[in-house]
Amino acid sequence: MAVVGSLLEAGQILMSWPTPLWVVVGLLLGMIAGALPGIGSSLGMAIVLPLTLPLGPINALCLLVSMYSGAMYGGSIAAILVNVPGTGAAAATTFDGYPMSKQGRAVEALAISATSSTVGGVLTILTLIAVSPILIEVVLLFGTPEYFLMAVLGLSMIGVVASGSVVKAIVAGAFGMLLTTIGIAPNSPELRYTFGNLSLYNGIDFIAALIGMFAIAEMIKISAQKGGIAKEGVDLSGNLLDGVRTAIRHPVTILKSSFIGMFIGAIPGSGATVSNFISYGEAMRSSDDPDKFGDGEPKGVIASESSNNGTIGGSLIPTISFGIPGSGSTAVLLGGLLMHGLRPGPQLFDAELATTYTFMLALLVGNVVIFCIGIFLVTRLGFLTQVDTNYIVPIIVVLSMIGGYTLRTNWIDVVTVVGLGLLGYLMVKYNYSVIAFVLGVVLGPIAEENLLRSLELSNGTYSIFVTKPLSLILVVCILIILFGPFVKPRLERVLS
Amino acid sequence: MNAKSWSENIVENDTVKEKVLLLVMTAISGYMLWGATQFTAASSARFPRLVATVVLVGSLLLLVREYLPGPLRQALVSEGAAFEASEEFVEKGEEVEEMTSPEEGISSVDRPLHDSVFTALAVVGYAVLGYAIGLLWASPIFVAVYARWFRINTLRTGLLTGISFGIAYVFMIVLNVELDAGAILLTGGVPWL
Repeated sequence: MAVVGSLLEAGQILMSWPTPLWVVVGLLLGMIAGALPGIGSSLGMAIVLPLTLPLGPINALCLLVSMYSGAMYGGSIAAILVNVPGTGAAAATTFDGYPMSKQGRAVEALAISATSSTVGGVLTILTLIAVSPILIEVVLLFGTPEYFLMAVLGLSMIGVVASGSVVKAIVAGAFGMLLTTIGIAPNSPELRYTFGNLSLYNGIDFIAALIGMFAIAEMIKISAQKGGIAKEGVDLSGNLLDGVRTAIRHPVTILKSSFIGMFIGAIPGSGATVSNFISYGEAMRSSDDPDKFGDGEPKGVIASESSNNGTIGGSLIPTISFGIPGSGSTAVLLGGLLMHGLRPGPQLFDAELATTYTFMLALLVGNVVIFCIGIFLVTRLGFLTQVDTNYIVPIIVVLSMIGGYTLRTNWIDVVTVVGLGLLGYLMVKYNYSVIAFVLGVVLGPIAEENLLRSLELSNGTYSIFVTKPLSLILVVCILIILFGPFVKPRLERVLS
Repeated sequence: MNAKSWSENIVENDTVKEKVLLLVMTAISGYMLWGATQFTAASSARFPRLVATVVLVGSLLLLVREYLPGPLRQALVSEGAAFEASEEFVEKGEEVEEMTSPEEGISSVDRPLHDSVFTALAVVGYAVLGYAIGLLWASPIFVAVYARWFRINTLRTGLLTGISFGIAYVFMIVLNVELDAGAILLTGGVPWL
């Protein structure tokens, strides 16, 4: 009954002014961020984060989740029209979306994308709402030691799931955690690494870290990519209704891809960048005529687009339950939650259950709005693909720098934005997981607090992490994840 | 090797740049590990010591990986990617990205500095200037310099400069933050704004 009551309350909150306005604003901003190659959801959300300070937590979160959702659809615009995925989440859309565009079916492909994104998003959010009562029970099983172990598990998972060296990802994550130890210690008045500087007493702001890592690092990178995005004019031809009909005629592909997206989204570190490829591969594998894929096969667009919007529902599960973001965008969303005084975990499923349901419903409504905007404004959004990156870079840098400073009017935040921007650029270049680093920054204080509290409970003995069955299972999982990749080849050699 | 060729080597050589990144991480984690031994409360040192050790050991191993025995080196570079899409698609995706947005070798606008190096230096300069004279005034200067470097025409440079000033001004008014005052110049802000 509490769930139904909270859902009704959430519905009322969502419909009360000005929340619907922030949902639409978020969707439009997200679509623009997604359509501009090099920007994407995490960067767009990171820049907007400081601007949400004057908004209440509900409006701020509705704005952020709507941006996340809008960017997933927005990414397909550039992918279909100019063969450049606006975000990694739309990379597989280029395979068939762009050939469709070349065949004079660009509008049809965009309508397929809008319809698939909407259906995929709605289905997975409804599933998330349906499983939320079970999720509440699971979350309530977790105590302080389990939360610490979940933080370690989340970071370890990124090492295994993210592409690139496992060790590099672990070092990146631990380095992120290390930086969060600057400032006053959580359970004593001890000042750590402050050099007597008052500005460092409260430590490094994780939002400044997010802005530096996502915005500045990306701008340094894309400034070296030559000028304009679309070299030629964009041909917006094709039939809108044909696209909607085509998508609806493939319910199995939509269903399968949405849930592949949801499943992969729930695994920390993977996200839509991986899920759209896997869904595309699955659609191709199960097709009667796989040779058509790559030459403008609508099923390719359907699979990729329904999976990337489906990923959102999945990535929210670890984010709101345990504070472990599934992707860069959910790391920013988590930053938004913490910035507005909401802690992931039991609080979001107890006292703040209505708030949690409000942003889930905002996603649901947002997906329907995506369909309307996608269908009616699609022919107006093509110009975004022709914006020169040289115009975008300085404006994003200005927004990042000013956004960083306004967080606490502390110059340390600007130093963080710039310093971590430079570090982030090198990390991206040499394949050190930025997501792992960001996760480390976000999880650092949570992990330390729970570690110290657990040790206080156990009078300083580490056995508290293995005495309960749940914590023991988590420890075993961490060990398998960390040492599995090294042990597996040896085991295979021995067995063969 | 003279100073100029040494600095060029650092900018151009990828192996050297990764080593610089690892050295930074090693130095920071080493310092923080040592710093943790100076804390008075043992509980305050526990977590920094734990994570600093992970970073220090990991970055040191990565730093000297070429000199390590084969199996250990293999373990260090072994990839996770448990949910990686099939290689065919990943390669295809990479091809699309490379085809449409190649990273230029030196400068896309025929300047003596690599575009990324210039942007990085410009961002640092912007932060320093912002500290000195206030972000409200530093923002249009940064945008104008950036636009001229990338040979954006005068009209568009003016437009971008105006937009950047507008953004800073809106932040200042809406969030009530003093962006018009610097630490060296205009320390009292600009009253008529």
